[in-house]
Amino acid sequence: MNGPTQEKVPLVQSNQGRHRNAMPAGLDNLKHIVVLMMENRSFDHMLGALRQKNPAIDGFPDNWTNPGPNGEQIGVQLKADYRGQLTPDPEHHFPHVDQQIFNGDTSPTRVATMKGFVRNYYSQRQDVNHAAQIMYAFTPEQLPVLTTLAQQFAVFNAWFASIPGPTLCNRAFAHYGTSFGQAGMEWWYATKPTVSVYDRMVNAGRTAKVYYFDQSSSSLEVPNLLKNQPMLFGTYPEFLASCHDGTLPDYSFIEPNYTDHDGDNGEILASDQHPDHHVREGDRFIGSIYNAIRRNDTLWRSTALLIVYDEHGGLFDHVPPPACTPGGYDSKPEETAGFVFKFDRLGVRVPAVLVSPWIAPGTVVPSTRVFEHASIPATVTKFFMGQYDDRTDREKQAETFLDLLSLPAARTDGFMFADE
Amino acid sequence: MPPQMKMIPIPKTPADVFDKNQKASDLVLNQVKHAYKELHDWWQNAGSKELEQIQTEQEAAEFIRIVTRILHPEGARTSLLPGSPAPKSGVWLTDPVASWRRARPGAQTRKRSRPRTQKGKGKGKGKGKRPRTRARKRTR
Repeated sequence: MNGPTQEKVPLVQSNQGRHRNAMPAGLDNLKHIVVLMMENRSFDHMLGALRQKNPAIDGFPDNWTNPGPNGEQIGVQLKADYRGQLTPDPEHHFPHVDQQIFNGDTSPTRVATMKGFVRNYYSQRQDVNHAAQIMYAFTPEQLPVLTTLAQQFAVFNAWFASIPGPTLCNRAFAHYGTSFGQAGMEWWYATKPTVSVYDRMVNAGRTAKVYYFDQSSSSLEVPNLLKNQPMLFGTYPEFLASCHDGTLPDYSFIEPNYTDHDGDNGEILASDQHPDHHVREGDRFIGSIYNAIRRNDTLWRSTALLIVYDEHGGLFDHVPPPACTPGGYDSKPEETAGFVFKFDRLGVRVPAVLVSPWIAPGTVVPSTRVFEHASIPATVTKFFMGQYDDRTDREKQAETFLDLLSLPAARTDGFMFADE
Repeated sequence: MPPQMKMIPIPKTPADVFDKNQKASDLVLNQVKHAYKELHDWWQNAGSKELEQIQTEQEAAEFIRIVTRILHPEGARTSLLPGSPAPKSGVWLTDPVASWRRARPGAQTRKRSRPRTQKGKGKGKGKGKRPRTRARKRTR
């Protein structure tokens, strides 16, 4: 492994609910956690080619293939384009993800092989050449922001979606540490005693905000948070202004722009990277969030920025999702391929990068440490509040990530992204 | 910002990829559906679009904007940023805040130097809430 090995640092809770003793300097200086959650891209598709630059990064092996509809082997190619290859949108609801992971095997003794992506995409257009595009990956040079941050800070080898399913249930894990038994796109209502991480923060006298891009894009959390607690919300320009002024809340969650639409000052491009939106615009959006934090030096030294994707969007990955602590719910069989899913297996691996000047360049978080979206409320709660019981076992068991801020002093090197 | 900061150039997204008429994704249509359900009574009274009429990203965005304005009116203040030199895409790699404030001193992101008082309102040239007494006069 090229990057430094990361060891967990014991955290000791203080009376204020913050971990004050036996902390690395990075944690001692940490005041803000920012999470940016993008849409529907797998680890191998976005970051897999980085293995050529750093063998510690668990990108796709050179000879990785998936069988096509006639048994032919279709390999990974570095031919991903920013737009135009993923129409129709690759399937990523539970039954399809199940096929992608198990290649259609439904037997009780089945093994996750990650060999069913081509066949699943083939089922949408019956065109093998088109289906082969599900195995396309980006070169690092095509994604200068994401791959630079991944190489300059910490990239996670094993961050998985929380559910082998679509967006909304996965994003729920980032907000609540559970999806309340949902494995699809139907809505649900949060039920006590489980409350969102924002509620927990505000009730504890902390500050937290969800920043959506603009009112035409809004939030995916309309029925629960936006409807009932609009005071928790802000906008992307407000986030930029808060970074400029040094008034960022303790915890910020950022949503990208989900649509191409007319804005008040002209045309606005989607920046979520959801297929088939232009991926470069999402890369630029990530860069703008990083830049906003980076250009305020005080904020930079006191902030950890996590960039993560909600789920894989039907795109290939070669690492089988592991089993996990059951979620405490049973799925509706009609959402989960006809059987009851116990929320005891994670979804497909997604890109995740942690950025802070307290992280050594080239850090690769090893595959032995498994993260998922419940790791987000678990980390925020642990850091800002310490002990907190009213949350799911799944979240309590989730791995946390702030021990990665392990340098004894903040890095003084620096870079920003600029318009070419 | 430290003086030794290295700048990494990032190409702009081609403007011609903008396509507001592309079919909205399953994700966005579900966002619309959930928002519609939450504000069903309001839609009935307002005679607004039916769910099945929303097909494209622009149509979805217009609908979502109405919903968000109802649920989170404060967002309109910071979404619009009047006078801001918005880039074509809506994403800023440069720091836009100083230019917003130059374009419109006293806009929403500027910190107020002193609390607004009754006495000070006359000099505000229409800024802020008008005194109640004035509104009553008009209705008479």
